[in-house]
Amino acid sequence: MIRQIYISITGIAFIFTMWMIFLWAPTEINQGQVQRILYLHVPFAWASMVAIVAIAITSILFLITKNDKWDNLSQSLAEVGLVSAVVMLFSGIVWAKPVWGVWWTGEAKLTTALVLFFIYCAYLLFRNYFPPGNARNRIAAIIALIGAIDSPIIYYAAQIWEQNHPKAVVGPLATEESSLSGEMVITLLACVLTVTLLFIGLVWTQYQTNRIARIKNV
Amino acid sequence: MINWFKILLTLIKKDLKIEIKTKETTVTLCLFAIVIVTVFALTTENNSLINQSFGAGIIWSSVIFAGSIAMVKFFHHEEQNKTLQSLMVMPIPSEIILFSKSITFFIFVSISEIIIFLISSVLFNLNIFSLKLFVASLIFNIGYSVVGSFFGIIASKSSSKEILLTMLLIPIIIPLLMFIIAITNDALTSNLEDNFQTWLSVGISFDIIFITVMSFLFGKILEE
Repeated sequence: MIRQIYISITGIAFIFTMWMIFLWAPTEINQGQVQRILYLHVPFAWASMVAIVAIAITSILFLITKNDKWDNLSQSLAEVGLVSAVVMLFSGIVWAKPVWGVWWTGEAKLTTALVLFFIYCAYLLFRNYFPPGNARNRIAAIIALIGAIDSPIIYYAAQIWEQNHPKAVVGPLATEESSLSGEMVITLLACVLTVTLLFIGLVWTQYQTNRIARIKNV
Repeated sequence: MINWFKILLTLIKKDLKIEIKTKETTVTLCLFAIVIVTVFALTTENNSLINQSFGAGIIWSSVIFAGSIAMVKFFHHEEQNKTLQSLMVMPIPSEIILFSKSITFFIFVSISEIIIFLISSVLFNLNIFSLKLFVASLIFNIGYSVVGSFFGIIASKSSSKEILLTMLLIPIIIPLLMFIIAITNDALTSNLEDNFQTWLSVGISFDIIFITVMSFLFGKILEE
């Protein structure tokens, strides 16, 4: 019952946020309508980054307590984290072409996001390919932990790498900082809140589904 | 006091003796890498500017892919012959097993790199021999061997070893790959002074962090 109420609240919040994005927030002067993509891109990027940190924490808790619920939570977080990473990458690519003039650059955040997507894939692929059991859950937790440790190193390396690559010169965002108006900031914050609610809801649902699947398998 | 170094040497000697007898891993590694480099050489225009831009990528892609194929083969034998299980019965710290496998694989990768460098310099007309690149390659090989051995042992227990090892290994070694490609690119364009120290710090930090983390976690993946 609580879950149904939660999903209903998230649904209402999502509709309200859509109204804010498309009807309430003003159009950005330099980028035009395409800037509205960022209202979804930024929150999903936030969700995918939070997911990898959360997976690292739940994996450590699983390795310490050996309680199956932490492993189930890690799996659910990875599944929803992967979806968030896909939305983040896809929306980022669609936004970059008209604004930067290219679909993709060697920019640090982009490289880190792509590798993060591969880390989620590797984690879930491992869970599918490895025979089920305690060994699989334990090794999956270790892989998640290594992936989380690797993420900041990737970002650091990509930042140095970026210096060696040509920066995007096409588009207004390439050379100057953008400033958001009050309505835009409120809309962005509302979007972050809604996507966080959606993220928690999806993890919750996925957790229940995985729990039932595990009980069936036992 | 038990001499851990002696045990480590014995384990490395055991793997090397098997390899000298079968020659499977090194031959797989070298041949596969040569084939990749040759395919690139045949399919790209032999223009020195293009080779300078893409040379580093081609060389290190061949090393990575050939290395992961060889790793699968190497650890598949271990799994088939139940060598790891036997080693686990020995009263030695699990890190010794990881280090012995890593050092053995370090030797295999280093041999294959010498051959790949020679072939690439001939096929692409590249001048890649420098002391700084040699040092960078050693740092790369250390990180690649440790992370590869760690994931190789994990993947050997699965039915889809090849894809699983590649998917686990490549995303994790991206910083190391950036480090070595950047240094090779600079070596090819004779620009090694610019970012050498910064990149060296990335490579060395990666090695230190992952050797520490993986030796700490290795015991957990061997637990039954």
